[in-house]
Amino acid sequence: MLSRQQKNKGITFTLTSIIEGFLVILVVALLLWFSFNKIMEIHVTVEENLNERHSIILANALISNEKIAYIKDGKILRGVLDAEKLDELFIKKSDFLSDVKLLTNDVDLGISYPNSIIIVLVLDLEKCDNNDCDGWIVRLKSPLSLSGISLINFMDCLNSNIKVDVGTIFRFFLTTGGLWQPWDIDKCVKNNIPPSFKSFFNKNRITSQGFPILIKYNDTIHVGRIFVGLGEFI
Amino acid sequence: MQEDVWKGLAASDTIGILLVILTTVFFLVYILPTLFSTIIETLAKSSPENVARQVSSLISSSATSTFESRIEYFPGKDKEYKIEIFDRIVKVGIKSKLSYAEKTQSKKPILIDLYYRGDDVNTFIISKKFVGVSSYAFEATKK
Repeated sequence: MLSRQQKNKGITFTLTSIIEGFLVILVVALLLWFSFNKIMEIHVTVEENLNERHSIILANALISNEKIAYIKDGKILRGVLDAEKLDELFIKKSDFLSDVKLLTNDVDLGISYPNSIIIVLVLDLEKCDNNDCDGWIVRLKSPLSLSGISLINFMDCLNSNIKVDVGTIFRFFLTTGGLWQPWDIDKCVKNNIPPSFKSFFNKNRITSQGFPILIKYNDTIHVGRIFVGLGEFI
Repeated sequence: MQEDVWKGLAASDTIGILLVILTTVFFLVYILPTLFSTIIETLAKSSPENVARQVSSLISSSATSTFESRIEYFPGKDKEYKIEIFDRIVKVGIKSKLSYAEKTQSKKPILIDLYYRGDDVNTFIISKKFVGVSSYAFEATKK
């Protein structure tokens, strides 16, 4: 009899400890729910060299652009540029070297990023003299888009991240005005301020080595390279 | 006889506590990080910042096509976006019910001239055709 009662006591103790354990789990779950709904915020910050990405995309688009690419039987030959079209639209590299002002005239090829300075250089690697190759150069027309200017995007980002809560009083002493968390400002800088603000022409692979192309003359085809230099306005 | 029963009680309690500790450790070490990484990954992929970058890159990349191309981009099932394309800019905002998701919008530049405005969409289709001249089309729908 005594033995059975004491055995039951044991079961009661075990149940109590299990219930206590579940209560602990419940408290943890409640804390998680509270943090998900009231405290936690997920910010997406992308760190990349946007100029490099844009240079690669633009160079890729240029080598299949109908205004400079060679067209045979109504089909664009991607990567083959037409020397006649280049003569018509671009400035000869030798002329440019004697008169840099020629680059003030921009050319509209129908493709270019807004709010940017874009220089395209095409070199004929089979017309070289002491490592100085013949070629063409041009400044692409870049439309001005006020809503796309980096500084306006940056201000928009700050504006959409304003926080007015109890924490404002504490943040006031840490950050400007206490309206933003430090990571909000960091995110807005990383996502909106172009890398060109730090270095105008980025020294990356696409601008230093370019893309391989072919240049189609009337009777012959030469090996060449296309280089795209791109810098966004702040 | 009594001593044996006390021993049994102590052992049962210890087993109970150990089970709770093991469950909590398993939750904190395995389930919680998995849950967090899934949430972060999903939100990062479907954030306006990422979607604007992807749409702008896909529109710009469609210009590399020499004949005809059609690109369909679907960032996520239960997501809804507001998209505007104007002045060679793509502007994307998200409609999210999650309190911890970012509510901001993002603007990214594109290479070509396109104009479009769409609300409550989650699928983006970019088409290009070359018949003497290049022509582009953009469409956004809800799946």
